[in-house]
Amino acid sequence: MALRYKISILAAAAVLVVLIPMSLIYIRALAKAEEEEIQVRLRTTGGLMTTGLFANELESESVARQHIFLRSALDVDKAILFIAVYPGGIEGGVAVLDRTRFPQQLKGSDWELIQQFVEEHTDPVVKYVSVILPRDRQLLMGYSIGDIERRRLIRQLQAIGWGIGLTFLAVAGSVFFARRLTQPIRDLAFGMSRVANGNLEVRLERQTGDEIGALTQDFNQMVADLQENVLERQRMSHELDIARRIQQGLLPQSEPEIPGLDISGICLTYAEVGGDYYDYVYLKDGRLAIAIGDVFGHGVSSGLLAAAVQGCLHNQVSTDPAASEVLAAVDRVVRSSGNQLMTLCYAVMDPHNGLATVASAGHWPPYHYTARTDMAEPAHSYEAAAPALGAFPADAYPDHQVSLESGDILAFYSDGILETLSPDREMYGEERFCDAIRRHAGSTAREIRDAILDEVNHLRGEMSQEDDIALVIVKYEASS
Amino acid sequence: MMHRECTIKVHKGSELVTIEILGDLTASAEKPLNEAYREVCNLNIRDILLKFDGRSRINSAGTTILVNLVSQSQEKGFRVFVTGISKHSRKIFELVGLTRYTTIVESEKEI
Repeated sequence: MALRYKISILAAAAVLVVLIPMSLIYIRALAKAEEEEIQVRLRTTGGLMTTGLFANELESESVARQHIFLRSALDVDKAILFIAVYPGGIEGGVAVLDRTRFPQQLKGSDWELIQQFVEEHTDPVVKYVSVILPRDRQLLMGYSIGDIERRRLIRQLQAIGWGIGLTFLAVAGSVFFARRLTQPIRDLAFGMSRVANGNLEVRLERQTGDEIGALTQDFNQMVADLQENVLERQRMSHELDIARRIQQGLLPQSEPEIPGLDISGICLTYAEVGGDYYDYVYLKDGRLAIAIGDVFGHGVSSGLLAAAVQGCLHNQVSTDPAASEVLAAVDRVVRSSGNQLMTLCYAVMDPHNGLATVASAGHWPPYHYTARTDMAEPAHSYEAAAPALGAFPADAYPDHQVSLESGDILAFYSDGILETLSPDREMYGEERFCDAIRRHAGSTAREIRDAILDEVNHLRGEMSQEDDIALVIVKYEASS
Repeated sequence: MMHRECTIKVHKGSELVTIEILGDLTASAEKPLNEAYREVCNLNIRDILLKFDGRSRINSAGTTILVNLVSQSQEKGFRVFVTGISKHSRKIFELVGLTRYTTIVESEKEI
């Protein structure tokens, strides 16, 4: 239910709670006051009549005057029906003040007629006030309450009518007041809905100087800030998009085409700009340098460091491709970047004899699948890796020789592969990775790569990717 | 997110202070872990035990936090012990060089 209706109902209810008891009290007080007034006037009139009787003024003209007086005193045209004096009253002294018969004067036996009238009106229509007079005379005054009751009813109806009218006015006033009171709130609600629908141009006019007005002002400020933030985010997103495209541009755009080597690599980032990186560098002697790394963290800083590492790597490889020199050079770049860490695996492949020289700095060693034994195992032990670049100082960057035979595979990867979790937190892990290589060892490097990615995606299910993934498959086919 | 929320607790002993790490060690744990480490540094205790709950995942951000923490401890002359890490995390420790500057123990009793 809308707020204005609630306020209207509450206000109307509050008015009625006050108005209804007051109306009832007023009606009862009105009735009581009227009753008392009539009694007082009757007594007064009775006294006046008595005075008139004693003065032997009960003649028609005198009675007529009294009647006029009574009508005036009671203020009820039909109230006074008759005035009787009996028994054996003043000679010829009976007067009936019936409007229908007045000013006809009744004599003697007409008293029976009066008695009959009285008997006929013993119901609540007629009330009597009797005054015992001295000298055995009795004055009977009667008045019909019918008209009075009707008048009272009319007054009550009038009071009820006023009550209904006031109630209607109260409800109408409540609705009007509620509408005025809630108009700024409805404006705010409408403004909020427009903002929720993406319209950040909306601004509201401050209509009041109270808290709602302050709220309107805050709303306008909030929307303005939001608009500014959105524009800033759009600008940053645009810049991140440029950074992502630049970073993607740094990745190899095609696979090396070297006889004896079937190579396929991929890098999937989960943020706009990721920290994983892989690269190929052709050496002058026909060998191929392969690097795969992971800058810890994500975002522009990681992407920038990866770009800087790539430049350093290319420069160093062209100068001296020895693993120890390359890793040491990259370590200097990482340390100069501040508080960042990077892992890197570097290998030089000789397609002529299948010899690979592998060195790792904090990075997972590549898996070497041997076709002859159908086994896959790390190219070197974990302890044999140098510390991560930028972390602890390295005494040396030892390299390890791996001799590949035809059909053998070297699989380079980042931790995003192994640490992919299923919805129930089951990690993909090295065992699945090795098993996938073994099962698909007869396929091309690209097919093996895609098969592993399919398994990783399948394990993750509906969960979103939480880390970058880099994967390079090198399959050696000895030339016959 | 698949991460378990990380809770850090510090237990002070007479000769050893234990930093208990419950949940996954990710970037969100950097602030509480560094606060706990600062608290530990103010104590006159030179042995620190990093106690994981056995199921903790340590991602690259968590690894960076640990490397920084261990590097600072090296500079201050603290000995850092680690317990409760998974086999996978142990390999990460070996790869990044953390095992050269920390001692991995099966339980507190080995210290």
